Amino acid sequence: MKDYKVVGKSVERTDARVKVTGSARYAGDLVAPGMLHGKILRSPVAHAHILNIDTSKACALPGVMAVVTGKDFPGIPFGTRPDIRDQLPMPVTKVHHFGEGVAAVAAIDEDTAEAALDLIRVDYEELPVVLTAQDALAPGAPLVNEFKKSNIAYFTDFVFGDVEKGFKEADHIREETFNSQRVTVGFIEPHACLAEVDATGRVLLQGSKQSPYITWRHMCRAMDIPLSKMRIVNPFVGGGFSGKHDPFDVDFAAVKLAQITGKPVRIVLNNDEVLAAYRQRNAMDATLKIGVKKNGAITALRAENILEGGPISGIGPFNIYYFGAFLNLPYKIPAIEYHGKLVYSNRAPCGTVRGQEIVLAQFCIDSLLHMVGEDIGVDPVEMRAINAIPHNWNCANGIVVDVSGLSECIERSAQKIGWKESRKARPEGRGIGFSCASHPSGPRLGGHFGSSVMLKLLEEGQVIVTQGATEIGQGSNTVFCQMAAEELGLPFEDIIQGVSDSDTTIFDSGMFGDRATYWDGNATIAAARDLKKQLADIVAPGLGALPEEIEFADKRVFVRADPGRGIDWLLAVRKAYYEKGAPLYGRGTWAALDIDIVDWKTGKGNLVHGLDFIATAVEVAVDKETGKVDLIRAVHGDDAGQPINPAMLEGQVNGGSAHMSGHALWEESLYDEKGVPLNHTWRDYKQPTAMDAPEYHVEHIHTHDPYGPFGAKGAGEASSCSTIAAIANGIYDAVGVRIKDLPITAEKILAALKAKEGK
Amino acid sequence: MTIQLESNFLLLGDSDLPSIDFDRPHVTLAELLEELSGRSLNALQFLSRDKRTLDEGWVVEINGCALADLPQGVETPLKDGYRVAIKLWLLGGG
Repeated sequence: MKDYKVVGKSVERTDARVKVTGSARYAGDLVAPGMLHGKILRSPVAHAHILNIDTSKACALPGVMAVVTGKDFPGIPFGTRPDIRDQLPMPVTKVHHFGEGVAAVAAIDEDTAEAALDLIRVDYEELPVVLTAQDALAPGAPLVNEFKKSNIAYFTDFVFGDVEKGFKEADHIREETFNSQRVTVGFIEPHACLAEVDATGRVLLQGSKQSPYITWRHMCRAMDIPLSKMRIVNPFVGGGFSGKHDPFDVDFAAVKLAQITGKPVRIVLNNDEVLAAYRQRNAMDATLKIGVKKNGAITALRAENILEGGPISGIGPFNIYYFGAFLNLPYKIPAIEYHGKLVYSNRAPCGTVRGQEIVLAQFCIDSLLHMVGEDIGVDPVEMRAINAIPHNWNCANGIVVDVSGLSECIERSAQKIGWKESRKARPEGRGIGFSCASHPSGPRLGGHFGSSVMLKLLEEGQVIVTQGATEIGQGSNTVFCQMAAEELGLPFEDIIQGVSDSDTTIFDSGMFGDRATYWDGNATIAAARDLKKQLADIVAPGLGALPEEIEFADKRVFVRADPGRGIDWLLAVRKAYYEKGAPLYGRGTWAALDIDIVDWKTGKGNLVHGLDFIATAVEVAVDKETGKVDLIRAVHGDDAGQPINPAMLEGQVNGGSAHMSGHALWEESLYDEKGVPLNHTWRDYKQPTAMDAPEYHVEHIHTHDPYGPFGAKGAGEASSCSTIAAIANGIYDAVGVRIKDLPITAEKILAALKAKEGK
Repeated sequence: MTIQLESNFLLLGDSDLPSIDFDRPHVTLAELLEELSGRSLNALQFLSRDKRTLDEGWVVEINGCALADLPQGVETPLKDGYRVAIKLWLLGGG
């Protein structure tokens, strides 16, 4: 393994100090001269026709500068896919869920804006609600989305390999049904933005956005303005977890109000609004059937999955797709049949959450794998080891796995958690569960899908990195600075992170799917090489060498074969600036051109590079009297290729696991029978805190991805995918009850224990 | 006349359409796309609002030739047996 100077070191995050001292400026902190404050009026019902909206009294209130409704927008629908454009900026004819924004006010202060909301009269004609997948698919069910003639928003059917043959060859077959609840995304910072319009009509939007260029594209479409007439700048973002890709009524309303008033407009939501009316994870009803040989080897899998996704499709088609296509990982399954449906409902709109719907698929598969292993008498660790995907594996749907450290991940996690020892003796109510997972390093979409990085060389020798990928708290900016420093032979401190600004940074396809480290990391290396080449051209003649003979290390520029013959980095920079009049920029782009574009019809293709693998072992303690579950320890054997920053990687792995422990045990967005949310406050919605987290340990399994920057793979989402089944399996191991309906609450455990004991 | 169709998604929303017949001899690409829009469950919008260009997110080829290379654009006349490929591209942010 190569000995790096900066890569592989746990350097301090570039944003650590400003964040922990409270000086980082998020969207809600932004101010502009003459700024107005915006507020949104929300629907009190989940499904209704809008008969009339009377804003006259609100408009007449002193201090109110403008009021907008859905009718103030051009009526152009937008959506993630061009064939399912089923959203408007704000509703016009009907409301689709509780809390949907129906009008927005801009006023001189927040109190006036709030008072104005009370003066807006909306006449609704209530409609019957659709809350579950069963409701949505029932004959004669009310239609939820006015752009679609059915409550099936999207569906897909995939067949990979010979499924019938696979089941015939199986020695044992088992079928089970699994369910998962609605959960919120769980970021700390609520949605917020500041919109301004300049004298030419050009819009500047600064918002809390995960993928600002996705927001930018959708907003320009729905507001019927050219892309060039909107500039989007990302301030600090307090977490995204896939909940901040799209534009929301917040963004549309702020821009429209700014256009009408000619003044900057800021809208900052509170957490109650976010929990009630913004992105959640789909509820799932899934049935899986698996066939295995006597030794545990899987021969076939059949899966049916229905996701209930709220009133818009959003990123839902991807959720359906990911669930099915990634059944091919992390286990060797020669034949898979998959049927997935996304249905509309009158609950809050869904996007996805960390790990996308691989999280749900893996909960099902790894729970089932434990069950079927028990049926045939194969140990859970052995069950996973025998099916683990190795290096150079071709999946049934065409995904090619270049490098897999999964077998070692399984071995190390089992060893560290003390699996073998626990089989000899363990305390009452204690158990250990396992699960594995794999997550790709970003798919290839159509259109512009590459990543670009620019390095600006400053006169004082430092380098500013700007890229389209956005820092949303995951640490990508630090990683890019480390990579640039390593490649340029500079200390980490000499690399400065620039700002994500559509006027100056290259557009990026988005911050999702673990793609940033991998794609933008490769672009960073390319940009650094481009910068080095330009500098080498300038200094080589003075060193009596050819440019290709020049090396960069330890803040020096020298002849590779004769390191004593060289000059200080700063002198080289000064030569560029002062002798050549050449301020230098390094430019780098990277795209995985050899992987396939998603085929929506078949799910087939080599979809990704950089598959990271994880094996998670969780030790739990279950109180048989109360059903309460305590997470004791969690060990993640993690193959993220070459860790770029091990401490940050551990933060991602453990953070993803802690995040999903809430999904496994406590969290659920609850609604009454009319679709009104019941627990949309952080007091009532039970997300885990540090007090609930187990003792975490990450075993880094070093591999070298052939396409990854410095051999790295994407990371951060795999542990989200592996945690839920590991907890479910651990509970079963502890007290012998199997809960297949998430969340695994104390009440469900107690009821299952009583049923088991015949009480 | 019959136009052969290819796509990377379900053209009608809930089902595919390998070909489409017209009972008239002359049809333009724009007319074909409008016909498909009308038949689709998803209220597809292939054309821009002024109907003169493709809407964003779509890639269309006629007999393997990219629409951008055809001088008449969406007004390109189609003949019996022509093969029209319609693909959706997720544009993401960039």
